[in-house]
Amino acid sequence: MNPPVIHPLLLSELLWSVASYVQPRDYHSCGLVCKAWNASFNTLIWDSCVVDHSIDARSPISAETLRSHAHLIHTLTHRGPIPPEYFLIQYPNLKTLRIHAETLTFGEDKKYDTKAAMEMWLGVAMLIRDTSTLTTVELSPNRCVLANRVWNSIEGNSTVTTLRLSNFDVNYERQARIFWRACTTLETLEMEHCFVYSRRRSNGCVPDSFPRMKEIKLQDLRLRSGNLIRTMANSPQLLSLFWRGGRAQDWFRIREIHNGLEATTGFLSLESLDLSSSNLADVDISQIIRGMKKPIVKLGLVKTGAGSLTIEALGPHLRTIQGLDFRGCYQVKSHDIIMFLRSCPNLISLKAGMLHASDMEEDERWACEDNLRVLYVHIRVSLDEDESRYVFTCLSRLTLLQEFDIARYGYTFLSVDDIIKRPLQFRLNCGLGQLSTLSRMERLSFGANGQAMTMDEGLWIKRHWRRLKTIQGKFSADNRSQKSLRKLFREEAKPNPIGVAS
Amino acid sequence: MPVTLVSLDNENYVVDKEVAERSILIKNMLEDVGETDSPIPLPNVTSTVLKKVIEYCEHHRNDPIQVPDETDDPRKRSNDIEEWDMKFMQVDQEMLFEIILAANYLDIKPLLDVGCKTVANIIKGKTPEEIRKAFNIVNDFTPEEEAQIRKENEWAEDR
Repeated sequence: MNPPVIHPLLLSELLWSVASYVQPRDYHSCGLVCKAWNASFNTLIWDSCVVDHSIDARSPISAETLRSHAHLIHTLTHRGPIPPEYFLIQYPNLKTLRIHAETLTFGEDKKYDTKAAMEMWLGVAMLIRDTSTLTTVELSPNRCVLANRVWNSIEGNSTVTTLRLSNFDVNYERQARIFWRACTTLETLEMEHCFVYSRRRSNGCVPDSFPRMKEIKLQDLRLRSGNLIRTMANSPQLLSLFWRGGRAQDWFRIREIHNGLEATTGFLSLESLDLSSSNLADVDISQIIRGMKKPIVKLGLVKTGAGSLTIEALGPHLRTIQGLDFRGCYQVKSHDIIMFLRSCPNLISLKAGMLHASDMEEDERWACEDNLRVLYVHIRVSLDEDESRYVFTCLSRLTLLQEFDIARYGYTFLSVDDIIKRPLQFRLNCGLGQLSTLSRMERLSFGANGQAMTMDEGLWIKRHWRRLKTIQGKFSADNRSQKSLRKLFREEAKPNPIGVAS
Repeated sequence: MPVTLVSLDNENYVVDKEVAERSILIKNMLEDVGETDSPIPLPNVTSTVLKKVIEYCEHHRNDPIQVPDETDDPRKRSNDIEEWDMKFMQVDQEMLFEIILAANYLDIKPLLDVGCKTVANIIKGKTPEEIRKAFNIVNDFTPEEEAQIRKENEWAEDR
């Protein structure tokens, strides 16, 4: 074969189109092919750069090499203790800085050198201060070193709007005050496994509000958070609050707020709330929902006490809700789930517990049928085959559905009534054939047991759901069917073999 | 209404408007010109390639127009080529590149994507030398330059 006059893969426009499909693990090889490729792939290789000084790292990038590529770097990750010479580098285009200090062992014998660690955080502070393109800072972990300078530099850098902390402790009142002050300049705050001193003395350690904050995500915090909740309630722009593992006793302050004078100022903009895995009871959640001023768009209440009071409180929000997650809420009943499907026209994602087909009507219509993309419910039907058929008829109208999970989430108590019923059977003779309208299906999950599919159903699924990427669970209690179905679906999942003959 | 397309080597191809409009370039042309019987010249495409491209457009005539999916990760996947497209792309390399160039010129996004995915799949897991060999690319590095780049980019080798 004669090579063309100009090799098409040396045309930069075409090379870019191809490069966007090359997997990151192939970048390195591609960068070594020739000069033209090197120019294109170097920008991809260095776009996100990892400098690894942790104990098990092989060969970290030298400061010199890093300096000569600094202009290409948009995301910089430092792992382990950072030697001082690395802090002399300027990054003209850096957007995201990640510091994963890890175990922070400095030198050979010193297990933990506080002085070196302090110097390092000082260097980080300088880097944040001097990088005028920086928007996102991610820090972890720090258990005992004071990082005041870091908070000062974040407060002083007007482009930084996002701060993520994990395993990071902010001890002592003085340090915490500087930290919370820095938070008043942020738009996004994420904290995971952190401790922050958050007592509010008369001189105010936690600020009254976060004036710019749009999104807060908290997970497993070790702090008395009553003051923090008050501050968040007072933050006028807060759109989304995600708080996994919150404690009810802290939210009691909210009740005080809502019952008292501040009732009109609480959570002015909040429209997305996730309080999963907190020990909040039904009454607490309903109070919080009643206190929200804006229509709710997303609500996550996994493993909480949510029940009839919560559902009642949601009454005014049914038209706006797009995402609901009630998994592991055993007080949310089958008829409640159906009520949401019937009355929330904008619902895109619903994750909940058990749905009994017997609670559905024969010509059941759901308001969300033009929007629903994700449905996680364990549907149980009686042995009456007509029941399965009308469930499938109803499901067949969810033409946009992409994810369907009928597994049982966690431990679900089965009453005597439930036991004589069985999970919805994905069988053609039960009416599966009606679901050929669900052409966008990408993920299907059955959970551990309950299905009795055969090859016929497997082939039907392969033929009708062409976009299906994941199918999981036990397809059949019969070992031979299970094996052959797994083989059938695995073939589907395999990447296409390379299709060019030269 | 049928549309006549003329290739570089003056071959005429009559196709349905719906098929021709898979190409955004032709679609815009037709919109600009309005109702017309005059043939559309495509001076950048040879007849062998145009035949192939028409074959693709015929097969995909009823596909919905692609909408960018914001849920997808920015790195695009290369392993979701449809069976028919894969067979369609089983051509020699010269043809593969010609199809990609034509798709680029005619602005047929899905065809360009399939072509690029096919190339990305050939690259997958290969060493630099194997890639050069696969595509007939000349190594224009001096050994020193190559060694230096190899050293500088070493950290990115196995990610």
